[in-house]
Amino acid sequence: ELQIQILQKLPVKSLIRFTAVCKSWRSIITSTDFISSHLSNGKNDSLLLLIRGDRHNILDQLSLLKVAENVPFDVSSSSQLEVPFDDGIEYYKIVGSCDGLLCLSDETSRKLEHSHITIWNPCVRNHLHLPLPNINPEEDHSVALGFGVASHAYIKVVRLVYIYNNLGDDFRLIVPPQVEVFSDDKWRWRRLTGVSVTLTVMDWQAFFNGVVHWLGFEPIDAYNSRNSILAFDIVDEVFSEVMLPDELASEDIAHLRILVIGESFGVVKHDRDDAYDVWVMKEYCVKESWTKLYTIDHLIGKIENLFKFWKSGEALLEVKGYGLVVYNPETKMPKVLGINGGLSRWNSLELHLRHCESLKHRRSFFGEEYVAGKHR
Amino acid sequence: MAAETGTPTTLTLKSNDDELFSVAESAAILSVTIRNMVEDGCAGGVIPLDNVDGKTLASVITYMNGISAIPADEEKKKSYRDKFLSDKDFETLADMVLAANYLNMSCLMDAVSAKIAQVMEKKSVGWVRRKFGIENDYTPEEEAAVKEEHKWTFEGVETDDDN
Repeated sequence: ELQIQILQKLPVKSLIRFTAVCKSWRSIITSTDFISSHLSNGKNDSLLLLIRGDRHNILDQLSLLKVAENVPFDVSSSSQLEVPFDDGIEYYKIVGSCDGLLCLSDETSRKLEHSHITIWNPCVRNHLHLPLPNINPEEDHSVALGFGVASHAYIKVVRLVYIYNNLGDDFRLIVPPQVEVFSDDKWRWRRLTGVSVTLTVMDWQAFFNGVVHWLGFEPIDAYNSRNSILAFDIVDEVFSEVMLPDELASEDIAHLRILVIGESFGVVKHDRDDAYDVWVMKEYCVKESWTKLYTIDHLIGKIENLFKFWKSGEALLEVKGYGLVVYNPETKMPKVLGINGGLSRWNSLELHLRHCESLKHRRSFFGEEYVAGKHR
Repeated sequence: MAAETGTPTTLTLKSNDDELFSVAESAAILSVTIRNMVEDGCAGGVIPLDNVDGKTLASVITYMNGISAIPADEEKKKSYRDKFLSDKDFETLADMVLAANYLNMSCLMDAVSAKIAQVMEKKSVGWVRRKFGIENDYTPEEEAAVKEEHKWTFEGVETDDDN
């Protein structure tokens, strides 16, 4: 119908307001079909969520940047969002983002009585807390999380719990980890058995092609270890390994970070001289296809962080004294965006990309059940 | 009529209030509905367009002539469309979206619905109900609950004094 075609072109804020027009508009706007075509139609602007924590990692400031779709990268407007959670969760870490949803966690390697995981839709300004996980060992442990939306329909969170081996001086983590998966269709955590993971993973993840990826390592002997990538398919719920090139497999894992780069995924290696090597895996799961694309060095200032690759291939950096900087690998020119200039006093800053303003997630974020207050 | 090259074929279109319009076939076939009629050979005499009134049809023909005079340059076409729609009020746009749908002109349809969305974006719920002729079927309690739930979306809404 013609009305639907017009509604498809409205921004999220107006759409949510117009759910109050009449019942049939509400059911149109909150329908799964409408939401997913709105999600794929949103081609005018992209949104970036800039998240800043203070030095204690407390979620401090959220800026929503509108980025014009045309290259080169440029910010057309920015606005501040309020931190939406006032119910007792303080220490936030961003697990990942997908389909316009962000997954946040307050779980660290510190022993907490309970760990809270929250899914948040900044555009719709709704959030929900997941039920408490089941695997909470008495012993010291370390947790890695993965987040994705399966087939654009179900939220999934995977939780890997590694227990410390406190024997003597050996503070290694025990493998395999204990694993549980949350899926929002069943609304509960479910334990995975028969897991044969031998890698110990870092808690930074990259969600790509329906698969969560973490950098991990495996000891070879008392002094050396081998880096690799652990992959978890969130639909089939199976683990696999994606091999790194030899040059990266033997690197200090603290210098590596896994990221999605355009249509591929890759690893950024940062060395003591403040240079960043950008590697991509051109053909997924083909070890030989790893290629070093370029190196970013001798920039205007010290690179504090490389956190995102834009669709156009430009890299988004945080540079000391300059704040947010965009680096174009073709011209090798940095561009200072003039946003959050005094960033370097902040300890952490993370950037998350959304392809468009989405109404996700249908079930628990915006659907009838939410309107009816089921998850409030 | 304004075409100067060769001997352009001219079609005669008739609105539902019996106004007659002459338009170059090359411009008129932007409408898939008209193009099909031409291809089927039933465009010899007067083409009746039963769902479009004269005022709207005049506007659509202005658009057909304007856009077909522009060579294949998407940027220029887009800026023509923007300019063409810039001074149209909601009622005119609503008539045009119906006409574009009936005439099967997807480029006009897209542009007009985007324009309507742009006009609506900051409007109130009451404005939308009036303009779209929609009856409010919420009870006052239900409506208040929906509005309370998404309070932030009611910030920055324009007051309803214009169209």
